[in-house]
Amino acid sequence: MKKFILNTILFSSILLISCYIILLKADGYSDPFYLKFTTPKQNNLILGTSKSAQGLNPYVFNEILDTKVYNYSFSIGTSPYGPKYLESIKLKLNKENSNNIFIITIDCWSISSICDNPNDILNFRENNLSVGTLKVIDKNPNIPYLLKFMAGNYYKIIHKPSVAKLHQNGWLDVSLNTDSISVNRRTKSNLIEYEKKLSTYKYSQVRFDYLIKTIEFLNNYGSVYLVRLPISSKLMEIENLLIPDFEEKIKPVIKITGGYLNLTAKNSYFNYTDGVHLSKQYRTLASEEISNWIKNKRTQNYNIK
Amino acid sequence: MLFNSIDFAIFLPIVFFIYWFITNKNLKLQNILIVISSYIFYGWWDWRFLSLILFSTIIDYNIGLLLSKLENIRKRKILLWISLLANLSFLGFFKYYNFFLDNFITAFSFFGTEIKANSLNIILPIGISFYTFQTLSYTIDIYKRKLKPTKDFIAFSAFVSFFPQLVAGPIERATNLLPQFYKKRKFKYNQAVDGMQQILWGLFKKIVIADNCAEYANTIFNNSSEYSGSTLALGAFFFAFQIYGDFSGYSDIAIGTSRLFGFNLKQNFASPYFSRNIAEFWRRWHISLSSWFRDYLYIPLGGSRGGNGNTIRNIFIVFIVSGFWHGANWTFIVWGALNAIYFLPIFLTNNNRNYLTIVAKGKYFPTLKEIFLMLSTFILTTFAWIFFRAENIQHAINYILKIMSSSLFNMPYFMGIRKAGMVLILIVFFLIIEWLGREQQYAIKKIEFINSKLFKWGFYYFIAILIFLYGAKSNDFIYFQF
Repeated sequence: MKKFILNTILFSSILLISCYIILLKADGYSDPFYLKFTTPKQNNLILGTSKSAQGLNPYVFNEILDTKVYNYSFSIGTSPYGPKYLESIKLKLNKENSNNIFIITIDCWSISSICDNPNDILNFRENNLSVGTLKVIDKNPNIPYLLKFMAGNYYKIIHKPSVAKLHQNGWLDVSLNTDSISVNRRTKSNLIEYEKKLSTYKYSQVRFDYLIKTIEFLNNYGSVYLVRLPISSKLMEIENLLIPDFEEKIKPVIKITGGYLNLTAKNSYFNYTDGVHLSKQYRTLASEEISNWIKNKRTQNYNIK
Repeated sequence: MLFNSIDFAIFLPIVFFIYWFITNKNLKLQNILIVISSYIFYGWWDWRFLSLILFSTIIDYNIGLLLSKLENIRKRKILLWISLLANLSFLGFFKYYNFFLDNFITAFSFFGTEIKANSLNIILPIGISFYTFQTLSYTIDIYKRKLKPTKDFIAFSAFVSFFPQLVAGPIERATNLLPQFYKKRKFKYNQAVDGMQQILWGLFKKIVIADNCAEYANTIFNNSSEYSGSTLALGAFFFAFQIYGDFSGYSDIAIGTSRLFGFNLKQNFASPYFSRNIAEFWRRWHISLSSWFRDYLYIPLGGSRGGNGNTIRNIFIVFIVSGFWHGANWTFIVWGALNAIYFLPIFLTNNNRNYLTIVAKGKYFPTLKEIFLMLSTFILTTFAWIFFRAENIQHAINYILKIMSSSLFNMPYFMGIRKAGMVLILIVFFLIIEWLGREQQYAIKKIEFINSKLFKWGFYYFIAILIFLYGAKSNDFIYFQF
């Protein structure tokens, strides 16, 4: 018995140490969200779903706005506006300053729910996901995240896939083939997926209220700028079916922000990797346009004051 | 509680410690511990259904005792029927009530009579098909005087609820497992190490092979209308490995866990995908269920006695009931019937006992003929799995028709196909190890291609690291739903 227990402990210890060493090597290639939970608290934040996680490049914002901006956007499933995302934002925000910049990206999906009852907070999907569960979001390594939420398997830690890299500033840099065949195939696949989503997603008044609460909270620490990112026309049609009066609905929200920039007016100007997410070159262009718009807004406000 | 969960990783060492260090001097205490642990293990999922296990235990324990006292044939028969009805009515209600109701409604509406009846929202108690069959075999064996009933209620409770095999088998016979509860168990180093190795291999099969294959099989089966024939064929291939890895992996973990407590369970899988015909496949796949149906259904029906007509009927009954045992859906019935159709020609031409030993015994490589036979058996089996996995008959037919279309010659494509390449490599690695260890109870029991003890431990470490690196997100075991 003694020999068995000693051998088991020895074998398990070597195994656990090896696993721990592997986990220590996790980085921006390993998982699309991991570094967002290992970096310190931040001042200026970009918030939203995968469209902003991929589309808004903090390097561009840093340069134009001359301040460090952090992308704390995730995905439709993980970070629609709601109580859990707000709690996570509160944890990630460095509350020492009151002159920060917050870019809140919105679309129909980010204020909708997949539950039977779209206002049933207890059954919101993100409740059981990383944003809804993790209380520690600035520790490196973040072992609880890796054990519970890492997407896919741990093989990705040692084999660096070249498709997506999460930068230290929270930007998810996705490199996909941009030949028309691949783009069309992905767009077609997304059209099918989003049409399916249309039958399960419903507008959520609770999420809408939490969008307002999130803005009100962030207003205490700086200026909030509301942005609607572009999307391909066919997917825009699906969005419009989800909440036909979206623009009307957000009018009262705009009033409590520093301004609203609707880039869907320029949908056809931008290129996309899959109909939803901006392609590499257009991510920079969109980021530049938003940064310059914010810069102008801030200059105007400064002049008025 | 799932074998591949943190809960079980904590539960198992605690029970192991109490079993060998606290209750080791008293057999009764050890059995009580097994019963309590088993009830905790099962109750972790849903404690309400513990009452079913307890009820089944009490009924069969008492009927067993009464059967041994009675000589009157009629009374003995009545007792047997009480046991059969009690056990099968639970199974029938929880598993088949909605199926029969829906089919009655459909049948009556076909003849122009509309019946209004509501289906019930019934939760299927996990493992009910397994422990029901286990307790039934106990009563039937006593009725046939093949077994003497136990007077030890605790030992009998432990036999019914023994946690390693409670929810997904192997379905143990009382003649093998029950006597092990009467004897004092001694800790044996080799048996425990053997158990740990088998658990490791079971986890590899489940977490690396089955769960990774499940990801792609589910994507392809759930969206089959969108994919080409070649992609659907690949989906069926992934499902074949998913179900094998899942179920045989569970059996390996169950058998390995039992060994840690000094028990020996029967082998449940013996390299079935290396079978040379369907008859051999069914001797190697889910052995405990196949042999249960042979002993308690096929032989009582008359077996192969009574001419070809009766034999054909009996074979069809056994395969169809076996299919129906897996689930209340016509897909399982067709799956069973299809296997009967595969099996019959082999049986009627007296070729069903051609391959009693493992393929290429004592050799490294099979002959070309053996490769051809194994491949053709695998293709037939995989074809039948399509019915097993499909949502309904129409889904299965559409799936098969698309495979048989010209799109079978297109390059397969689905979201995530790049990653699937790695899973195919893992399947090849898995098949090589299974091939090398095909003559043993489980593939890595003795790794004969490695001589050094240090390298052997290195190999186990390598398997454990593979589980860690390639482990997909945890899924329930498929056979829990049966």
